[in-house]
Amino acid sequence: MVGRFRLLISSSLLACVLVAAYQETAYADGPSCSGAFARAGLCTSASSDGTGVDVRGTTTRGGTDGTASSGSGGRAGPGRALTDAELVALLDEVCFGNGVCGIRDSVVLNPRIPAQPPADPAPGAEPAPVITISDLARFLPATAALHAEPDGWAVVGVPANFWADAGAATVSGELLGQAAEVRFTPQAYRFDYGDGSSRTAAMAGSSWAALGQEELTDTPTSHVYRARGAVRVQVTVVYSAQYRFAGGPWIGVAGAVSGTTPPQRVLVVVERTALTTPA
Amino acid sequence: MSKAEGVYKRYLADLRKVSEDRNKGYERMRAYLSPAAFSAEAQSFDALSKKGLHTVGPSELSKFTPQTVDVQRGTVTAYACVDLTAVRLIDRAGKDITPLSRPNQQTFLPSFVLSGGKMLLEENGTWSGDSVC
Repeated sequence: MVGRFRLLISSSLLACVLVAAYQETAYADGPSCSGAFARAGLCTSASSDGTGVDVRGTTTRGGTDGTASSGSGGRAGPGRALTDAELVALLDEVCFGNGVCGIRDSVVLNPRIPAQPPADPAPGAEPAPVITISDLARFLPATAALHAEPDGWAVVGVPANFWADAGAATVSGELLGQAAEVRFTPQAYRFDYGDGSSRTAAMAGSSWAALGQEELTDTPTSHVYRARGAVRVQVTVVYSAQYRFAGGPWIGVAGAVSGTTPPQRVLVVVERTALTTPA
Repeated sequence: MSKAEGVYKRYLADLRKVSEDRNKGYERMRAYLSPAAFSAEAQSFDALSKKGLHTVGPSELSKFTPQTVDVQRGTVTAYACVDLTAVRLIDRAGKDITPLSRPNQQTFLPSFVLSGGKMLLEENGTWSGDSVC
């Protein structure tokens, strides 16, 4: 645990030399990682520069809001299981070119990494059923929302800010005939800006005020439109999923589920129009 | 620092040997790992074995520089820049399943402690900044 804490340098000579050289970075910023896992690319790496996965606080939404069933009469949510190719493309997009990537992405979402197998059943007990990501996709509640500022309009050549509101959610329902809970955790966000361009990010984004930025400035999830017109913007949230039966341990399932918000209309105008007719 | 660097090089070499032997023989690492570090490595190797995974190929220590030294406690922390480009993750069928998102250049922050005249690797912390290597 030594590496996680600032260490005192007791020798004055060493202090002169070392503090001068390393004062700004005198502590580890990430968790410990075994060498065996590091070689395999399975470490969890902290990210101090905002490029890691932004896992939000858990919101439990049970009951009628998110109840789903594995039977044919169940209420289906907007969820869809991503294909392996989509997942690999997503990881490439989120992790490469972003400096240090939250390596959690590869552990949680990478389809090439086998999921943790369920625990062995007790002697004499029925073996646990095999649950796939497709089984869980239908449980995803429609809780994600897209926010935009300015609200409903943008100016050509000026950043318009978009962000997603998509906390983790736990849904109660019936899975293969048994009462179960399914937990979805946001891992990545794909913003489709409606003009043919998109951006995939590990963070949901925030309002200018929350970021402490001036209005109409660039953010990690903003977009600059190059032509006037009406566009329809939407965000697709990619979730990892876990399930459990009867309050037992959570079991992770390989793959991911995505849910897309309804399209939101944004009118892109030139500056002169914006100053006179803001809506 | 040379003693700590020597321990870390031995650690990387043994990681390769054990990994390429399908996660067997990690007992050899007990000689220079603290009990906690050894336990973490053993668990990791066992977990990989359980999934039928192992790694092959050499890792390269491209830089090893001190971060902090505590003379009273006898501890040393260093930045270790490790190149994992040649290391591949192999599944049970012999297929290369190295995660595409694994950074090939990784910065670690190993901490060492002097114990009974021996330098032990106590923890292999991670470092997310990119300015060191």
